[in-house]
Amino acid sequence: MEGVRRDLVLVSDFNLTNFANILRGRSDLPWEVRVAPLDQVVTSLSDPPSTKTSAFVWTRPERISTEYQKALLYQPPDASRALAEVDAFADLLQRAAQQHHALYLPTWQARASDRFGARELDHATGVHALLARMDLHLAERLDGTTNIHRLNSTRWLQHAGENAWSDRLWYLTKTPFSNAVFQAAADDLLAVAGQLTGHAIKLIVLDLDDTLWGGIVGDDGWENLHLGGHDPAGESFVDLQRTLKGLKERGVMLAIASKNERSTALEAIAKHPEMVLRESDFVAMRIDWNDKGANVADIIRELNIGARSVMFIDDNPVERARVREFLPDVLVPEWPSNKLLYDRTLRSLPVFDLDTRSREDSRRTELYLAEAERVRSRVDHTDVETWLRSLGTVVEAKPLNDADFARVHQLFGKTNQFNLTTYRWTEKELRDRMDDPQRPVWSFRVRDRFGDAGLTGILGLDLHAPDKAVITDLVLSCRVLGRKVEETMLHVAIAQARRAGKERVEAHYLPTAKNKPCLDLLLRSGLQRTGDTFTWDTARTYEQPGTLELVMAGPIA
Amino acid sequence: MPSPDAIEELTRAVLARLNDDLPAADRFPTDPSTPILGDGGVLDSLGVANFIVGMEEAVERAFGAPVSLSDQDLMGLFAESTVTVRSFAAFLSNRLNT
Repeated sequence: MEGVRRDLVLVSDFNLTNFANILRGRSDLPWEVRVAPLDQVVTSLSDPPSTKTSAFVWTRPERISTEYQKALLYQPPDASRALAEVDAFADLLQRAAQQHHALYLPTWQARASDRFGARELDHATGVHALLARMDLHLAERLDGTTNIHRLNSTRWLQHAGENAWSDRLWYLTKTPFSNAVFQAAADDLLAVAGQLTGHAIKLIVLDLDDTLWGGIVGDDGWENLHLGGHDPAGESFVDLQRTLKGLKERGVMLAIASKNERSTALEAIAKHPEMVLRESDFVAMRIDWNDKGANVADIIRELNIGARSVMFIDDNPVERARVREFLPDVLVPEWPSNKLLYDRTLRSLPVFDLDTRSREDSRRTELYLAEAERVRSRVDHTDVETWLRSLGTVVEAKPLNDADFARVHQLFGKTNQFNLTTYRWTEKELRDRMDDPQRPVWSFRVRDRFGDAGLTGILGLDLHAPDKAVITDLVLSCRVLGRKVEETMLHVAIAQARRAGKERVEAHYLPTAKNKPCLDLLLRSGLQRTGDTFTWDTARTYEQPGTLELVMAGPIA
Repeated sequence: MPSPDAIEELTRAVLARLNDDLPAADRFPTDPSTPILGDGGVLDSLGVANFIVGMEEAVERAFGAPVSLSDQDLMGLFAESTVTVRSFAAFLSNRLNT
């Protein structure tokens, strides 16, 4: 999943060996998993690890708070002392977050079967109320620490049902939960980790008939579709569309692949009064009688995104099987036959978790629509050079600053294809670089006459060596690839190295399963190759591409 | 009451379920002659605990009869030093039928 394989240490006051075994059995695991010594949470989190290590910290509230422990034994707790104990735990976690790549922190749980009388939820003395306050207090204390990711363990226990807690395993092995809980926890942890490393779903391709609305529009007419109104199925389709609209606002793009007459389908989308989604909500539409596998592939090609970032939803199992066969990397979830379950099915998929929201996320549909216009304009020009000039591209480079920090950190975390090393800088590491003139980082914004692609590129240099500058990072969003922005970033790197008095620039390419586009640039760039190292003598100028304008801001101007 | 064959099938199903929760390299055979407990047993101490808890739950689900294995020294119940899938099933069948 990541170019640099990391460790995940499981830290707990109970036995997590069963959980470790389940994680190790997952084929898509991005970590080497190890288990910290049992019930040594403070020691395990205090030992400074390498920054390649993440920690999964699962504690029981009674081990964090003696006041909560008292409450479990029917003694009146002192809530303020309990919150002070939570403060101490939060302090420990925040220190640990500075030393780790990421911390994953399941929420605390109380056994629902434990009963504490009619006042168990009273604010002042109720046991369950106390735990809710402790949990909220911890959330408030950790708010803003971006590499601590809290995980909702309630979902895992619900998934396991009445057998979630295992007293037998507890007394035999100090394992409080059944493996069904750990399976759900592994699903969730991998989904969150996947999202953080750029593997969340970015595009949903949707069928129309009996998927986005009830009925066959070509047979029934748009006026007779099941959509909204006093109709259980109609209501469920509206709920599904609302969910999709919400996902679109979070940056997930929507597209249509439907076997229909295009004009008939578009009329329904435009005219049906209960339609939540309209034509402008979709970045691409293939409404014809062609093969759906080919149509989905066509959409993926048009948008230039990885197939693993794409999900296909269709009520027809034959079409689902076809797309699975044609595009094995596309996620094709099983879809229920009961239409009333559509919305819940979509909402339960663990593929949409988002970390840091950025301006670019919510504008993604707009950005890709601009890209579609840009690609269409290509046909008006006989050669690439002329077309690139016609775009009027402006690239703005500036040193990393506070305003761009969140987006840069996010881009490091999510970019897989054009990424020199796929190294995921922690927030602390990146902040340290902001203060280190010998390891500068620049961000690149790109705009043209079709729109503003936003902050899409990162260049990092290491200037410590007396004779050379090393390109530590060369990262570019695929949405602006192929427009000479990547060559411009090399130009900036080499110009800056010369300015710093270095004789040469080196780039060490670290291959992953996905970052060949970066290698392709290095191969065509003219840099001299020795194995995976590419070198340029700064006595020679690396020309800036003439098809775009470069605007340098800050001290590198 | 459950036959020895039915118990053996249930035992193998529980072991297969344990295998599902292990990395591929750590999985073990579940045929009737596989030693599971005692000398040469394929289960480590955590595996033994998972197994007997899994058996208690599975027996109760399948036959509606509670059986207690986890609250005593399991190996103390066997005359042999090695317990296979088949000998465990025979022991449990006998216990459930008496």
